[in-house]
Amino acid sequence: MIKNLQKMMRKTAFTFLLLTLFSTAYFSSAENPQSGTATVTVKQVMDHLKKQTGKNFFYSTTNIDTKKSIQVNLRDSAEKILDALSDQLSVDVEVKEKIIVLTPAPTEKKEEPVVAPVKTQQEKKRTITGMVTDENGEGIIAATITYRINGLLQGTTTLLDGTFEITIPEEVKSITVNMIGYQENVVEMDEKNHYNIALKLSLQGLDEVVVTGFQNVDRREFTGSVQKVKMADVQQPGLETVDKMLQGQVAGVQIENVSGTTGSRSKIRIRGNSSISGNREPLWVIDGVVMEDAVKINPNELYSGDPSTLVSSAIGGLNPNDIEEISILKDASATALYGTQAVNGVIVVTTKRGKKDHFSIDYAGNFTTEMKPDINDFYMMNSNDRILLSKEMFNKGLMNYNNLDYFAGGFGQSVMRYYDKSITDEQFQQEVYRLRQENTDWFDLLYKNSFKMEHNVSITSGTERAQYYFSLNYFQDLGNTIGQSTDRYIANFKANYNVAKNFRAGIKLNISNKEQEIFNSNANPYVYALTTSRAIPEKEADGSDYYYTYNKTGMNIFNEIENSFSNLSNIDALCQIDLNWKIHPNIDLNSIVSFRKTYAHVERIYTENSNISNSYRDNDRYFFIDSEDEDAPAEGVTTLPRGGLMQTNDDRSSFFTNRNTISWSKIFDDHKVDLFGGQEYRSKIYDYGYVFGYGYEYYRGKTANPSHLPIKRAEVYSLTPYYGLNTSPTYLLSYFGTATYTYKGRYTLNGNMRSDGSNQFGSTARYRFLPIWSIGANWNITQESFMENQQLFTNLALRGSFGLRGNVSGNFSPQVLAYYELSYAIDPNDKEESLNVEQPPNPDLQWEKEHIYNLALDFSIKNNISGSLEYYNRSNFDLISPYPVSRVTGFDKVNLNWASMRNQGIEFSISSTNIQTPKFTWNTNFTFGYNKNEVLEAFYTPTLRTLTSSNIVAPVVGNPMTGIYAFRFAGLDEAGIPTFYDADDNVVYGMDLSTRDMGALEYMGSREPVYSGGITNTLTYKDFNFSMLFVYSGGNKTRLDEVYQYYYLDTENVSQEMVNRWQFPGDEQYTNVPAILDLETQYALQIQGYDVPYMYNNSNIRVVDASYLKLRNVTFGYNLRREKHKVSGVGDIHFQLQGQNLWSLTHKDLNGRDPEALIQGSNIPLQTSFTFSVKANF
Amino acid sequence: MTFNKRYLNYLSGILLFSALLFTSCEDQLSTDPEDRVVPQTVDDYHAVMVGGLPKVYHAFTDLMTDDVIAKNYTTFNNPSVYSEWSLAYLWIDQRATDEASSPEYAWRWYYADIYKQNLVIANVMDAEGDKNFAASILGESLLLRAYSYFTLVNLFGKHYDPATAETDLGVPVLLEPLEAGFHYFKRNTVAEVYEQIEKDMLKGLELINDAYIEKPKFHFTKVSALAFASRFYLYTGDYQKTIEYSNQSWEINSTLLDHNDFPNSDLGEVFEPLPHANSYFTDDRENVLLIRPGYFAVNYMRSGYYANEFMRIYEYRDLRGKQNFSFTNTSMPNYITLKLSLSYQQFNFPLFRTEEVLLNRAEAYAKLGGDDNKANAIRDLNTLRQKRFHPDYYVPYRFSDFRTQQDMVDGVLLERRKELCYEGHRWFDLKRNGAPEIVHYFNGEKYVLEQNDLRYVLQIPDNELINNPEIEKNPR
Repeated sequence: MIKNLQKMMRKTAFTFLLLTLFSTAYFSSAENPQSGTATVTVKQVMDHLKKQTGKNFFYSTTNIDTKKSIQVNLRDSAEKILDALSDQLSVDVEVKEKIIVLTPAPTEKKEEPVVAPVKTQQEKKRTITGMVTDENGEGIIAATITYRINGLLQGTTTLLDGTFEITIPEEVKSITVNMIGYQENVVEMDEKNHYNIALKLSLQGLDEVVVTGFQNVDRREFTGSVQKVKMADVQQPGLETVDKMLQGQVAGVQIENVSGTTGSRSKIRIRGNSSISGNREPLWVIDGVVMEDAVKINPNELYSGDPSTLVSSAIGGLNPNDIEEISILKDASATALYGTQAVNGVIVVTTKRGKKDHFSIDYAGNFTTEMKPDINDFYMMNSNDRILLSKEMFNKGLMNYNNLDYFAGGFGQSVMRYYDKSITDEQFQQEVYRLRQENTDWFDLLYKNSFKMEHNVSITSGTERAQYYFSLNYFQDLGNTIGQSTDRYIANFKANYNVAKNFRAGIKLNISNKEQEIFNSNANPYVYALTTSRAIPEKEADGSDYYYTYNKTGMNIFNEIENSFSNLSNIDALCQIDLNWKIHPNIDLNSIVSFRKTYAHVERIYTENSNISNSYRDNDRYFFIDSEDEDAPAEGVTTLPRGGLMQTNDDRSSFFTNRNTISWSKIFDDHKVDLFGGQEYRSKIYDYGYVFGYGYEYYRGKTANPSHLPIKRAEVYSLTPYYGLNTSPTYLLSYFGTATYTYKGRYTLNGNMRSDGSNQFGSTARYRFLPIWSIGANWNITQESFMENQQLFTNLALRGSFGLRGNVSGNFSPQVLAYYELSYAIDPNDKEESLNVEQPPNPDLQWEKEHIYNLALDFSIKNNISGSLEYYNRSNFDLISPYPVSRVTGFDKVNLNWASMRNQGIEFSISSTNIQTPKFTWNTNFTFGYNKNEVLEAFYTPTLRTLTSSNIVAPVVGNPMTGIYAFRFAGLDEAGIPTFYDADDNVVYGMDLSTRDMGALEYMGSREPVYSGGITNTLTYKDFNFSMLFVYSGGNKTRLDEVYQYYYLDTENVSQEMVNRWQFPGDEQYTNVPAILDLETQYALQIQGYDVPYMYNNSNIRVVDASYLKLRNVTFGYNLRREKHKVSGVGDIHFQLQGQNLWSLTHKDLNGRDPEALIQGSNIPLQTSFTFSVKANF
Repeated sequence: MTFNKRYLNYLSGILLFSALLFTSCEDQLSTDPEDRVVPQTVDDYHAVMVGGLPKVYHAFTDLMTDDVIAKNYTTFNNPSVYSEWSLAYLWIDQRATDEASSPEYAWRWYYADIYKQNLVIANVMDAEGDKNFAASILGESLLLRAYSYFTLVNLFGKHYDPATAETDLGVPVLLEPLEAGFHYFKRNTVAEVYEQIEKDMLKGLELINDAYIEKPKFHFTKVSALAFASRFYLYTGDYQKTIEYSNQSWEINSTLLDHNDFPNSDLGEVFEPLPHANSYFTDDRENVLLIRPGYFAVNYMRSGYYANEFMRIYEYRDLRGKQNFSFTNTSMPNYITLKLSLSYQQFNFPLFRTEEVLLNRAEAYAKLGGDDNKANAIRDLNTLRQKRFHPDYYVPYRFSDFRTQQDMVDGVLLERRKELCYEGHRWFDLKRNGAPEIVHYFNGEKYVLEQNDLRYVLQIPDNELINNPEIEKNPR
């Protein structure tokens, strides 16, 4: 409309001008009548007309020869003279207010009237369709299609699948297709109306579409911080979940593989820690939908190795083979649309989908064997050293009948037999001598080389209207110890339909099932092998099983593993529908509906033959005195007269997401505007139940024969009841919007906003919503004119963002937190309903917040090096955690917003093609992330004990949140007792740990890595490929395991460090390891309130550097080409051999222990493993 | 027409979109995430009050008295019970722990209960429900608050002395439920604390209504409130009022426990210690006015703290000396008390019982002096002692048995010690009667608490000193 109006206006003005001109000319010619046609030069004609009309001529001397002669009658009207000029000179004449413009006429326009340079009729248009694809034939989204008409640039962009539709004027003869990262393609138009346009990659490794899960954004217009990984580049066939594969691949993402147990979670930190007490895990998003943890677990217990952590993972149902690519969103701009949960970063996974006109069946098989751990890697005592330690304790009176009755290993058993007089003194000596040689290698006995295999079949097919992807994955782990195995099935189906030209639908179904058999934590073979005395024989001299005393009853680990185990079963089903409706060329409506249900069942069994069940019967500490039982003996009776124990946990969860978005996008000349907005509703409902069963007779047909006593005992002591059933619903309603403006593809401005409402903050409306926002900008420097002539950078862009993010931290509420319970009473009949107030109201409680800014430079140099350098600064404030207050208030700790911290960091990643010849290529990929965490504000200083406790976060202003503090060791005294420096540098045996004078402590460094990253080198020669991945991490410290105790159970093994303990006066000159103290000395120290072992174990000599460099992965592959094997119907076959965890470099004080596994002592570190894999397609 | 169709298309799209957009989720957003409750009704506040009924947080004080002796018999591998209790036994200022043997424990939990009572006192009269019930709850809450402050001030302040109470430091008094925040508190003087206690107690006594109390032995009732008043005025030295309130209490309940109801080993009857331990104080016993469950008793079998020397104060035929104590086991010649439970955790602990009321009155008479009062005191003692001996062996006290007033007072206090041992009285009785020297032996070493030792006033717990910068330490 507007255009038409403008055209009309222009025409009117022009006509008016002409009229004026002609009338003037007419009158002039009347005044100077001259007759006859004459030959005059153009110059003369012009001079004549200049005089006549008062207008100057405007022309180019190169195009118009003014000396040329023409036939013209100068007495004619100016109009006629100009006509003649135009005809004879072949020029277009345009009369304007002050000038007359002469331009050479295009040959085809010769016939057109001189005074009508703009067409008066409607332009003829036509509509063309097409698809833009990459070299693999995959559609490229958001490629721009442009054409130029009358000097104006117009165009459109391709849709998700690469298709486009554009209406162009008939005279446009070519369109230009652009996509950064690909070479520009100019397509000449012919009679066809459909064009398939393939783009060639222009740069290596730089991916140009940013998948945020909400939108797919052109990298040129993306202002946030994102890093993308192609699954093909990071896939490690030996690993069963994707989180483990990301280690060292992305700058700024620290991944610690804390455990080698199948199904265990990796600890992931994106740009440091954001909270003290809340969730610190990133958010997983698969195909646009947020994946929640399948089982609700306290953030502090995530890495505990408890069986329920093995079924809790959000991505347990994700088959790594289905993944196409992963984007890691790190800053506020990238994550703003995810709202309050995105404060820890977002990992966006895009899975594979069907392709048009394509059919293939792909098979991948992986076969892995994992080496069993070696006792020498753990630096524990051998049996000789251990017996000597027991003997010393025995001689000092620490071991006697009273305690050996409860715990007695090899030495203790012999002592007890000697006490019983069942053996003579001589036999006793012989037995002890034999035990000194025993050296039982528990790792060797309990572990085996494991075998894992994985089979994956996927089928891809598609037509113009419908595309399908289907995959089936089977994973089996036979386990590296007895009684441990995993079976996992994942089926994934994805269909995409082009229902109509402007309407598309997608369906996704994903079902996974995992069955796992695993040891119970009391029979954890790793912990057992590590901490059990090697002086305990495996067999008696006569070959029968050796039982020793543990918890006052018999213990044999092989029996225990058989009789104490857990069964896990985990089902995860997801159904998702995506709808896209393009109601207008510029307007898209999108809708996602996703429904997911998970079911996790954990069954812990302790059969009637297990040590735990027997200890209920043999250890009077577990006995119960029933006050109503007149005949009960004084020490009480067992609550488990028969059978064993069982516990089942059932966690059912259902997740629902509905997101509706609308996007509008338009290009006006050089301006491009994108608007996007929508609404999301999510619910997550966790239902959980458990049952404790007593008297479970596993070997008698799994029958239940409970006694009432355990229930009564629980009732009397207000212990955890024998069953529980509960539900925890969370609802989230959010609105969000984003606006992006791009000028000439060079400058982009972007703003995002989201508001979340959640019932987590109680029913008071004013706490429910927290607006999250971000703004960002991007400058594509290479697009600037001053960069046109340089050859160095093919891409150089600067981007930055700033935003506010928030976090819901734990179960905090501004309201009074009160819970109904039964009061404590000795007689269950005396119990009353009571309302326990756990938290006073806190109307000022705020969300935890974060301001983050991000500045980044992206570059690509000469098509073979590309990378980015980023700087970020996260200020986390209003952090909530329990804050110790005066007890007079009635509480010892209340939840307050009381701390703030800052994470500052640099991330650098570069990938380069070092050599590229047709036969040989060498690529290197390097990532580096540096993060400095600093507590800015904390309103109290923790006590010395809190500061030195191993798993408590203790904020101290100026240091990292996870700082390690240690007592300052001052050497051993002449009796082998450790001494320390107090705050005034006096040498003392101990100090009051409840004080807060930090002068007594030494700050050792951060517990979390300060820097981390990885280096991958990939070499390809003809059909062979080879790659190596090193990961590194460092700048952090770790405490060594506790080594010094007043008393060691005779059954436990002790670190080899204790071999160097103080034994004789004078030893203090040579050793730092304290002596075994006799009881009197122990009492004397304890009476003073000194906790010497604690202080020694947490002293500065027990803190070491936790940096490491590991060779995580070496791969050697061969691609057997179709032409070579000539098996019909089979494509290329790829063979690969891979070794994992082959070598590592750590600090010498760790004596070979893995710093990654020191986070939690109960997890086995990743072991060396080898994988053979085959890939083929049909 | 194409024009129309196109707009129809738009319109339907936008309508559908808005429908999805404004799907109301208000109800679900208002769903509380957990089973948390905001107290609103009178019944809710009753439940809050019940949650704030005290347990026995000061039981550890018996470790500091002359009623126990430590004998070092280590248990299997764990000497820590022994040593953890030894801090109290040796009057060492305690570290920050939540062990039941630590003053920190008392400080922490009495104040926790006070918060709950403050919450009730501030709100219960405005809550929905029966106003008479609310008034009774208010009365009980006031009594509970008074009782908590009473115990706190006697643990952490000097004993009430009218001459110095105006300046002696007591404990901080907080009378309202505070919202979460950074709060600091100064110590009120002993006089101020006592004044508040008296006020709350009398108001509570006025309001409390037994008709609303379902489990009277576990709650303050009229009679236990009167017993509290009797103790309170005894501590303040107002003996007339002590007698007055004791009489009132005694009028309601004058039942005494009769030890002749238990098997008497002197008569060849077999005494089973265990049922005795678990039935000595129950809600079935009429002499018990208020009992609460406890977590800590000095007689925990493995502790190493015994009653050997204490045993000797009983006359030979005193049934208490036989029935209340037992050998731990044959291999260790040590006596433990059976009054409370043998097992580690479970026992009921009497806070008020008729025998104490009687003894309070006897002490008041004795301290008032004069022949009439002496006669009354002896009468009260005999009333009690009659139930502590077999009738064949019972010899009543005579007027001539006590020559001076001090003899009379000492006689009452000795009887009090015998009767109320291990029930949390001894420490305060010592403290308010001259704070005498106490000697403890430990690992062969002698430890002495001097007469009027500063440590008779417990130190403010470490955590409080750290988290409340305005609080003042007790002198050391």
